[in-house]
Amino acid sequence: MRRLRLSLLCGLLLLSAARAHGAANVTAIPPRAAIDAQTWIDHDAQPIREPATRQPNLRSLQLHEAVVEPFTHAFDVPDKLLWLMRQVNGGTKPQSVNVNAFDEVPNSSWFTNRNHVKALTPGEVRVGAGKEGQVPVPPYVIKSCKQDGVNPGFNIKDAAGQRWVVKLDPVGFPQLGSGADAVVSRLIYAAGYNVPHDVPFTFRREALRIDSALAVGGHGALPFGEADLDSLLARSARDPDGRSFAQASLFLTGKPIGPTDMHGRRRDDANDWYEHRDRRELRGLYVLMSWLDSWDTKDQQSLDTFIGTQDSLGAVRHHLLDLGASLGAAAEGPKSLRTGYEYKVDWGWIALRLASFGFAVEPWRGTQQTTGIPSVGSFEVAHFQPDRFKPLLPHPAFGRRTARDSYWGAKLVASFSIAQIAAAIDAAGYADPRAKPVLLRLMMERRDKVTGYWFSRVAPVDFFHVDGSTLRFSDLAVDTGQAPARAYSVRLLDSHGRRGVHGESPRVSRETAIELDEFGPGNRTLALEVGIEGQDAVPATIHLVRSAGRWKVVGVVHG
Amino acid sequence: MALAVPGALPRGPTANDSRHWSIALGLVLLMGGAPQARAQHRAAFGDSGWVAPLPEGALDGDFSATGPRVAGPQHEPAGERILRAPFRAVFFPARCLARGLEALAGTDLGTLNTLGRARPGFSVGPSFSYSGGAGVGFGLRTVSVLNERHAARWAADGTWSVHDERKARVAFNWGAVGEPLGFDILTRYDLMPNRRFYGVGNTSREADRGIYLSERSTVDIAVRFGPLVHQLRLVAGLENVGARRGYNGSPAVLDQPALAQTAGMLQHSELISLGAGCNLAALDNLRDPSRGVEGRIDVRQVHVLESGGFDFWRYRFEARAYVPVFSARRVFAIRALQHSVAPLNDSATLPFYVLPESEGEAHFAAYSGHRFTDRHLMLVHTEYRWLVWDRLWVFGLAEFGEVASRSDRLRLDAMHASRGGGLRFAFTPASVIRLQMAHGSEDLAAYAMLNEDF
Repeated sequence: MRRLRLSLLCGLLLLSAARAHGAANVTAIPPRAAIDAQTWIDHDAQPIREPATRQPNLRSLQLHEAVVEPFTHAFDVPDKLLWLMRQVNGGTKPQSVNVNAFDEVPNSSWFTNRNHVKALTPGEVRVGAGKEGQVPVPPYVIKSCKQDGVNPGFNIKDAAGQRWVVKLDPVGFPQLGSGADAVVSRLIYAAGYNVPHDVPFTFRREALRIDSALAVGGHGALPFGEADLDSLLARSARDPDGRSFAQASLFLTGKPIGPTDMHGRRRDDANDWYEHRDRRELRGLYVLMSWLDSWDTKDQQSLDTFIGTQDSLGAVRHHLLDLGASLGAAAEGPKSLRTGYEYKVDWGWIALRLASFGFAVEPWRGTQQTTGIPSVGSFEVAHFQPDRFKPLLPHPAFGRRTARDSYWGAKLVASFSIAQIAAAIDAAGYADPRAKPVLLRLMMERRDKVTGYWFSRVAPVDFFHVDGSTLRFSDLAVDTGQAPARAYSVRLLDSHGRRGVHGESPRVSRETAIELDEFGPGNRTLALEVGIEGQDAVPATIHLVRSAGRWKVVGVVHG
Repeated sequence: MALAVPGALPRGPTANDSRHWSIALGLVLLMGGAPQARAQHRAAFGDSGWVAPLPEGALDGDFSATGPRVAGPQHEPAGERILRAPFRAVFFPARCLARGLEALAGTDLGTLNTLGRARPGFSVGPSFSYSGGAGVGFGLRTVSVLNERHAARWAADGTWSVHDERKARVAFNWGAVGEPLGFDILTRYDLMPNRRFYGVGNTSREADRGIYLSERSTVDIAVRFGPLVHQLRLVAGLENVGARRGYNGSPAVLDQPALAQTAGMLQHSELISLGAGCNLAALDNLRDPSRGVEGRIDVRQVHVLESGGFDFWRYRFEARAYVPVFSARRVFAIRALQHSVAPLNDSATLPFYVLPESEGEAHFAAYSGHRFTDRHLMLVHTEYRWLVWDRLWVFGLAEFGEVASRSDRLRLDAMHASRGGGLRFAFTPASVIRLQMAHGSEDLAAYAMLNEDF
């Protein structure tokens, strides 16, 4: 028996070693680059050799995220010691690494500042990542297909020579997945992320051709014939004319090199300097995903591509994709009522149900989530709590999120106007006339709930800039109509950013403008703390420097 | 100007919401035609004309050009690395084990899943078995799905354990559980060189345990009429069963004076049986029932093929009831069963290996397997089960079981009680895994059951 146990252990160790070898066969040396904390562009696409293709196994990942990680974290003694030391020293959780001095995310191969710094027109939102009118052109040649899983689909080449990934909507729920994907991919793109161009479309059986190589099979694949195609299409939602509803996703530029590792870095990408779980755009994505009830955020919902430039060199670009598991949708129909409220394996709720002999009542049980509209599914706002949203699997970056990251995410959410959201919904082209007004109402109410929640924790004073001798800023809650005009407390901090050393009580400003000369006209530097008068929201800290008689904002910290 | 939402602060949906939003949407569409009027005001955050007051040209560059990074490469602080180093060293084996398990989870183990629905086609895979006496067994399993719709398939499975237990099964099934007609053939061969025996009777002593070699070959043929919930079965069987001196364990039954004289020891019998059975159920859910009742009866007449032998009836009665406790995820379940054999000729002595015993579906929770044997066995099992995750239930159980030589000798005061709890996970209605631990008058006993249906 002991020998058997030893053999099993050795086998597991060997498997583990083989895995580790595959991951660490290339070590990259970061290219030299200057560091500029004030930059709005993080130059992270310098030419490198093509990294290895990452192919994480879905079941391995599920086991890791759902079981191994929570247990590892629970028994991580140094983590507890570090937490204790931070409590003693008055420190905070480790902050995101890739933020500039203004607490913003610079443009990079991951993210592009879009709507929250320069509003997109509703037309731009509707078009999304692609071009106006860019849809698959019939006839379509099926190059490969996916019959496993709950969501069948195939890859096609259209008459224009474009390659698309096609996913079928489930029987009885036309436009459910394809509609959700169209809406959410446009909003995520407008927020700043890289996404493929996804369009909902319908097609007739006659428009499909099977590629000759696919029809004969080979290389381990079974032949795929007309009967197989009929069987595949029988699992799709169809209109009375026999047209199948589907989502088409345009192939991304560059060579796919596998999903993004949401934990650490891609070790063979010399540009990849920061642990992915410590990237602000991934941590703050939580708030966007909670707004959109986008519950499938595992590694496989992302894709890195290698975009060649010259001499087999190139750079990696990081994308989010396959966003159809959002709003009220799941691959097989409306999302389950539990989804979005519990992880797939939620140890907290399991323990609570166990200890209560099954009498613990989860919040989602009494929640009216079904909209009764097949193309909308199960989507609600009444019991939605912005900080309690849970994707299917714990997300490494979401778990390390701080209030500053959440505030940043909430800012992205707040930047969307009703016209922009309506434009995103238009992109789905819902045939059911009830879908648009219901979705628009729910999304706006969820938007307000999300921003209201996070803006009550971190003062939504932002976009500080100097106009003459006046420091001006925006109150995002007031600007978006969520709060009436209000007063602000302004406090002078010492050179170390500490309050109270001057023994002054905070000044109150009734405008989003502060006269800087009132705070020591002779100072060359200033540190101000700006908060909402009478509220507990953590204030923002602004650092200013006077040069040649002009003040300049050199740093901002939210919360 | 922001397009303010009517009553924009967080609130629940009201009957008027749809109307409000329709109006708001209409306004949006109208306002889309008059952008100039709004452009006269400085755009606020969230407006369609919003532009953040960033330094001029701040976002004009290209991240693929040469330029600065926003922060230096991220490294683990030296102090943290020093703090973590000893823990990393100590937990390295655990980390490797976890990685190995993850890698194992990623392996295609479809053929290992003997409980779920088989894939079309032919598959071969490893097979495992485990029991306290036999230890771990390894072998092969093949499944050939002939017709997925009618659940028609051949399956063969064989294992050989570290203590020389040998098991082989060949089965053919046709007809899914919901179909009106089904047909099954099951052939089995079991050789158990250290099977436990404690003697016949309700008062047998745990300390009298001995081992013997049990060898059993069976062929059962069944025709099913109707779906699982109201089914009639006609069965015929052929069985060769015997008991010999065991090995790979001690003490041997033959060395135990109290057990060596048990009827049937060092004998073997060839038996033929004919019988019928039926199920009758009204359940809300076959896999995880929370409300309803179910009854099962199996009756067989068994004849020994040798002259001057014994013939007997074999009865199995079982009744189950499920009562929800204010919800389908909290269930009070009760199960009562009786297994009996009745000789056709009262003077005949039945060998011990054809008597009912506390094993399998009739296992007494807090007692060893095969612990009690006699002509009549009765078990009343009650449990409160509650759902904790997906299809995983936790249960607390109370159970009373007894064996007796005559049914009128089954008495409440002689029952063996068990109290405990465990976990239940159902893959299908007929593939339930139960892991349970219970305490009784002898000790604490843990038991794992695969392919159960309770």
